[in-house]
Amino acid sequence: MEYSIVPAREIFRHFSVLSIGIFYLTALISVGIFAYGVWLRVAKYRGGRAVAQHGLTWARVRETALVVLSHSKLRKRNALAGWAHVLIFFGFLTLLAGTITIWIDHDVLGLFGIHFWKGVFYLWFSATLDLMGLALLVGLAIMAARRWSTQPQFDYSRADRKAGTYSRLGYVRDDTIFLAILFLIGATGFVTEALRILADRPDFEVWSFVGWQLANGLSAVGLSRADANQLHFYCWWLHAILVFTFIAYIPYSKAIHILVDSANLLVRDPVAGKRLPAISEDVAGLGYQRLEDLTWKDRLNLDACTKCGRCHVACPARAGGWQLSPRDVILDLREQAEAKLGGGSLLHETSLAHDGSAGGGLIKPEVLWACTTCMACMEACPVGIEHVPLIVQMRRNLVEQGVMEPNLQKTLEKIGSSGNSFGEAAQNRAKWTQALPFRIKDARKEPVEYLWFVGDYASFDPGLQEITRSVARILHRTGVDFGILYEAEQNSGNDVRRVGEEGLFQMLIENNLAALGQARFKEIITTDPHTYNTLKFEYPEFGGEYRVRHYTELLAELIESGRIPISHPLDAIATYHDPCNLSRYTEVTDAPRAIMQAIGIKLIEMPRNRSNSFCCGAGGGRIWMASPGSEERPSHQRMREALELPDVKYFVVACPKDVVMFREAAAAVQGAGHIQVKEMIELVEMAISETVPALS
Amino acid sequence: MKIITFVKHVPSSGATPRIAVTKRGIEEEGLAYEANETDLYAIEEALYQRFVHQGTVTAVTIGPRRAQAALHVAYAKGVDHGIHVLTEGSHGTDTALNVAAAAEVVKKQGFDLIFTGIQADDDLQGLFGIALAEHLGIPVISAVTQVNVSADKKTAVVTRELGGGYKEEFEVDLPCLCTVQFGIRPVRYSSIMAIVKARSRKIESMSLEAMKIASRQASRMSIAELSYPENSGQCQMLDGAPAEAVRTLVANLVEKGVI
Repeated sequence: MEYSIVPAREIFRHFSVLSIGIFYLTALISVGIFAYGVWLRVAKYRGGRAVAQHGLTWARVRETALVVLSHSKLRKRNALAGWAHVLIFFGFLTLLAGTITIWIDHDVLGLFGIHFWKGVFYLWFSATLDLMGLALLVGLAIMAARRWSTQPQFDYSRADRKAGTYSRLGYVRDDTIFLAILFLIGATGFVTEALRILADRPDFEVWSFVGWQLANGLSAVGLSRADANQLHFYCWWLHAILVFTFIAYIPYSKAIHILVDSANLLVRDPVAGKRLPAISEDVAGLGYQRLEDLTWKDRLNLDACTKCGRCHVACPARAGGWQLSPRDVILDLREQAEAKLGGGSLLHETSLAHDGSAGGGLIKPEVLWACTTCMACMEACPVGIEHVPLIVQMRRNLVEQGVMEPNLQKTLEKIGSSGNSFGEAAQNRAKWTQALPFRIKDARKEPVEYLWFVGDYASFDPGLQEITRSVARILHRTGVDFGILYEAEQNSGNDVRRVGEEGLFQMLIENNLAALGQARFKEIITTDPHTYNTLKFEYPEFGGEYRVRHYTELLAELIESGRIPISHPLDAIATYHDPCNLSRYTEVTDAPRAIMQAIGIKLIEMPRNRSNSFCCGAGGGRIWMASPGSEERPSHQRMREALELPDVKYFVVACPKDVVMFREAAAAVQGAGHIQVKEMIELVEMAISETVPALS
Repeated sequence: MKIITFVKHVPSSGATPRIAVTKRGIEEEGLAYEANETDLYAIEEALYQRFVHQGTVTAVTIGPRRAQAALHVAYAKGVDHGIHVLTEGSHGTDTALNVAAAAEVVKKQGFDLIFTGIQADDDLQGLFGIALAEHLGIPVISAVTQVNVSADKKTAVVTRELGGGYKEEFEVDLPCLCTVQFGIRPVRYSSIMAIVKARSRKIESMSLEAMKIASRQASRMSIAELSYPENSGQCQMLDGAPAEAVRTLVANLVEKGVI
């Protein structure tokens, strides 16, 4: 027969015209249901507020394609799940491409009597699809095993509600159906292929190696060619119906992430969280109070979540037993959006009891106030969901309503009246300099090369002032030309903005820009990574464009160039805690490590390091709040992480707030007595002591 | 219901004030100001009563031009009207003058209830509310911690604080005046945006001349001298390891004869 010479196969093998008709009709219905679901979603996004800028450029398209194809974000936090997704992703994509190829051959070019799906192309096509189909099944099997067999079990529980007051069975079902239907599609595809091969046995089908072997297997267990021929028809239809069901199901399930997440990655904000959105003119209040306040991009963000739970695991507030889980914030908002605006999943979370404390806003205040804005969630999210800006937008509403804990209110009032979180008079800001044997230049009065933005904690906290003086001493001894703003410097506003007090933030910016305007300098250096972030990413929007660096960056440079000679290398073992604002926000992770290496420290990394660092719990204004979580504090958990490492003498930090947080942790955590919490500068000073001659 | 509250613009406690050379006042320069704390409690109570009984809340400040900032805060909290009585000369501490001016304002406005803070954070006199009620000839209850108004009967049941944690309950005819104790209900945070927005709200300005009040009425009291508080104790930080620090502490306490 001809097809034994030119390899190919019949699409509708032994089909009656009626069967073919039913097939096309079913296909049409399925695609129709799919299109309607997609349209509902698009309508939902189109109803959102406009976005000032979404940064969609060709570079972004390239970058996104790279992220999607390499799965870099998916593999980052969980290599096994990431690689399993690689198998599923490319398996699915190849099968989709294969189906489209056959459709073009059969239903487009076929109409003109042109066929290319045959011969050598057909053989390679068969082999490739079998290989990738197998990849899909293996990937799905790994995912299924991960989800249902490994311990601890995947955590579906909400951080803000008691078990029994809600049910997430809908989510479990959605996840199960998605996995199962894909697996069944793959499996029935192979069985259909095997039955056809068994019935017809064309020699060239050895290229469909999975189907071929499966046919051998079926034959071995006694399936006759005649029975296979019969069964093929039913199995073919089963496969087809599964595929059509899946296509129709996509926009009403987590499968939509195939489309939504690519779009979401395309429009993500490269400085999301680092630079918070300005107050929108078209929002009734100052922040987000109602669903209508969300932009189309926010709505897309909500739909992008696949409930993978990486943010849930990474979140320090969740780990510390506060009511926040970044995942739940997103899912909660999504449920609200789907209920009110339509265009969503068939399966939902159900509330079994009324949550009395929900209040008027979108998310409970206790949940929103738990956030340290450490950005671990956004760093972990493989699909570019921007949790932190959303949370801050909702906090802005809480601030406007005056809903906050008394400690925070007191602090904001102090900052409002005195310009610093300690409520100290401005004249006292530079009091720490009085114990220095030299005078620091007033950058407002004489030009300097480096303007040092000291920050509130480094200036006022009595436990930190010696460290602050250390920085001054080393810069002075090295002959660095630097100055400060004295009483004109105010809180930089980084955490004030993250609390959601935008007006106060703008007031602080205005005052600081006025002070910076009086000063002459080439570059700003900061001690506080929080200050660093806002100066670097947020001040430019208000007209303050400066070159800004963290002091560790300057120090690393000075050590590298030999201007700070290290004569007393420390010869000690230490671990380093990356401050959130230095690692995830401003992406400085090499300079502190270079300094440690130069001063003779043997660095042992904690499991969570660099951009995967675990927040001390003080960010986003949390340092001004007292409400406790139900689990061990994040800083204590972090100290335990360091205790797991052998022989660590120093727990090194590069942020004033970290010194406060971790000195407390070292004193409180059992067995941490031998660990000394050191600000980087203290170690540097030890390593150069007696060597650099004082200049004055 | 018409409610009037009074709010004073006082130096904030953040900065230590410097005593003027004359020793009879403090230097205005370098001071930061804020709305007096208990006056904010009075405003919160007034707004709560408006929430329950409807009506209007008017906030009045008496003081120099800068005192308008106290009204911005009042507007941000949610009052309906702001009135500023301009007194450039006095620093708000002349109770007789304040009472005379306040009486003119409230008579012109009409009122059912007046709330003032129990005292001003700067001079701590605690006179204004009581003197105003006396001047107007209406009942006054001081250190009020709870107010239940019965709008039909034109009365209110008012709880005030006594020493030793006791409480006293009055039934009082309206109109009346309450000087409000700290903590009557939480003072909500006023965001800077809200205060900035409030700056564009209209403030009715009244002058002492128009009210025919002499700017400085003869007083039988005058400040003789202001002085800084003297250090009465001392504080010493003990460094070192806990065990060592405790030894030093015990040694010091023994040396001082405490133990």
